Amino acid sequence: MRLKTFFATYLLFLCILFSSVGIVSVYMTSSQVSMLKEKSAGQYQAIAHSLSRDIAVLYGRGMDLVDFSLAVDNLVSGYARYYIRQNVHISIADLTLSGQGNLLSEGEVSFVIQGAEYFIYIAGFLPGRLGYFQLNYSLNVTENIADMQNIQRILLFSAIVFSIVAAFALYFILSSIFKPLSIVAKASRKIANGQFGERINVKGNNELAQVALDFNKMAGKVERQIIFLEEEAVSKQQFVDNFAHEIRTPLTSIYGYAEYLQKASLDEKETIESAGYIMDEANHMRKIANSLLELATLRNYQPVKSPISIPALFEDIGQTMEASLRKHNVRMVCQSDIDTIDGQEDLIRSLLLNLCCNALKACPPAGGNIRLEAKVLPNGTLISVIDDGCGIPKESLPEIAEPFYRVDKSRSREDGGIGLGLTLCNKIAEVHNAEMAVESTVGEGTSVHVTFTTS
Amino acid sequence: MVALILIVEDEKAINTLIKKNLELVGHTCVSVFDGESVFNEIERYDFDLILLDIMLPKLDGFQVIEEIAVDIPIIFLTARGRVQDKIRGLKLGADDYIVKPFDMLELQARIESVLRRTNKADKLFCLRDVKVDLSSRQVLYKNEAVDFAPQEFILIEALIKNRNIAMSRDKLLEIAWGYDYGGDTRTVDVHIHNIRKKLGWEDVIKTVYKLGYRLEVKL
Repeated sequence: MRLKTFFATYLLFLCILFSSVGIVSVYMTSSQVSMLKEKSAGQYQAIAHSLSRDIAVLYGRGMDLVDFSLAVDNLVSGYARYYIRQNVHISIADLTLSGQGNLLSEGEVSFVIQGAEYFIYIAGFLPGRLGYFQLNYSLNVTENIADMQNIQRILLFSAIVFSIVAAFALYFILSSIFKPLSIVAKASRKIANGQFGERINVKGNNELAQVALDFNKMAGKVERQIIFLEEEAVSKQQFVDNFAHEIRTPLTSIYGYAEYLQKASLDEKETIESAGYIMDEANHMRKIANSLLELATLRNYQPVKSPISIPALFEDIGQTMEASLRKHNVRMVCQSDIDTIDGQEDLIRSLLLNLCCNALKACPPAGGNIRLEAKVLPNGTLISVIDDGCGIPKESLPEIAEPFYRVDKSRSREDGGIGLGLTLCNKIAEVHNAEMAVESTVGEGTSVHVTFTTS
Repeated sequence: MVALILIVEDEKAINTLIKKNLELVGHTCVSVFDGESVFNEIERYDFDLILLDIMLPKLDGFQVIEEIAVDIPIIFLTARGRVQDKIRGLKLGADDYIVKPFDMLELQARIESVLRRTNKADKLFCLRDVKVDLSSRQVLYKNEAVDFAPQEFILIEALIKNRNIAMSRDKLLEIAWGYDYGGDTRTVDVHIHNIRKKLGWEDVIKTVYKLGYRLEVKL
């Protein structure tokens, strides 16, 4: 692009420059030659005039023919001697002696080249009675022509020098014009090679700056998208790893007990016990499968919304939880400032039950308190589940909604959970356009806030 | 061959499973469910082997092995199958590394191998009128030496080492004759029949329906 522009512009420049130089030198040559011709014609006239007057004087003296022609020769050679200093050759021919002249055109000025020399040649008859004398005049203009050729040469040389300088200047100017483009090209090459953080430093306010600005915008979008995809891939991999671990543990038990049943001789009690372990573990795997299925169903799900009575829902949850609350010596308090929210009832119920179960698990064996609250916000509704249990370490908070994430690294399944509860809650909140936030302090308790925004 | 083994595994089902399996072949086991309890137990008993999980409550397996001062053989038994974990475990001084899910016979064989290396394996097996010396490969029946074909002795050894566990005909064939043996599993039946007759073990080596044979020893 830059090279193309350079050559096109430069070629145009050369054409204009050299044709003007050509035209100028042709014009100069022709005007110089015609000037010389005019000058010679004037000189010829002057010489012819004074020569004919002098010859007429000689003629009037009445000399004999021999003397007369001798005197004329003398006179002419005197003239010739004088004019030779001006590079002019003069000769005269007596036509009565040499017969009729071979004059082609009388008095015409002609430009003659003889070898390396240039002449202006005029031949004519002397005026009046002396018409039988032919005057030959020739002016040597070799020097003038040489001077002119010199000037032409200088002109050509300076044109060449000028065009070389112009080439550099043009290249420099084009480079500075195309510099932003080459910066953009460099940046896009870097991005193409995977350096998605590359940006252009935008200066000025012209079209190229606008291009750079748009380019940066595009690069930013690409980078965000790539980062998003990478994160997605990492979390998918994490999910697969966790999932493999989650099913490997029950599988170990199932296979092991089945093998034990097959290969050892057991009494009835042991047989029942082993079969019990197999059933428990299979059940656990079924729970995982069900939850995963539920999660998959919730993807892109549009909930069937209807008004749900909050006090009734809270009471229902209280009743469902009653037995386990009593068993763990936990007190649950419900407080509702609102009557209804819009949502799909079974999903909202499952969300709150999950959160309450988590709260219950967080409570120490000695017992604890759970508070279920519903409040009005300026832009929606807030439902909170608050416990005073063991709390969640700060560094674990961002990850707790990840599938199969467990705060306790030993991943103990003693409490019977499968590690998908909060993931499900998050998904349910998401399909209801609600926001789930978790606040927690270790040793003091955890609050989960679900904010339903009315849109 | 009877050893005292400490099982450290937080998953109750798996802990019990390992315990039951090891008790079948005559080992005595103590179960703990977290990393910290290990130290109490090793003060109380003189263990021959520790089976150690990695992901444990309170103290993980790597920390436990770093802090154990006494020289007890340790086998890692974990769901973490990544090579880095295996290398780390073995570098920390573990004698073996088994990834869940594991095969019962494999677990027995590996335990047996570690015990043999640490010279804790039993060399002599006695049952009724039979004495089997596993190191000199001698069998005495009523104090008289009995001759066995090499394959037959291998079969006896496999059954003794996995006592109370049913061994399939295929497995026995593989152990005694190798993977590439083209013969029928009935070869195993013939040799088992010989062993029973020579040692009077007709009711000791039980035929397990559709599976194979089991050497039964009352514990």
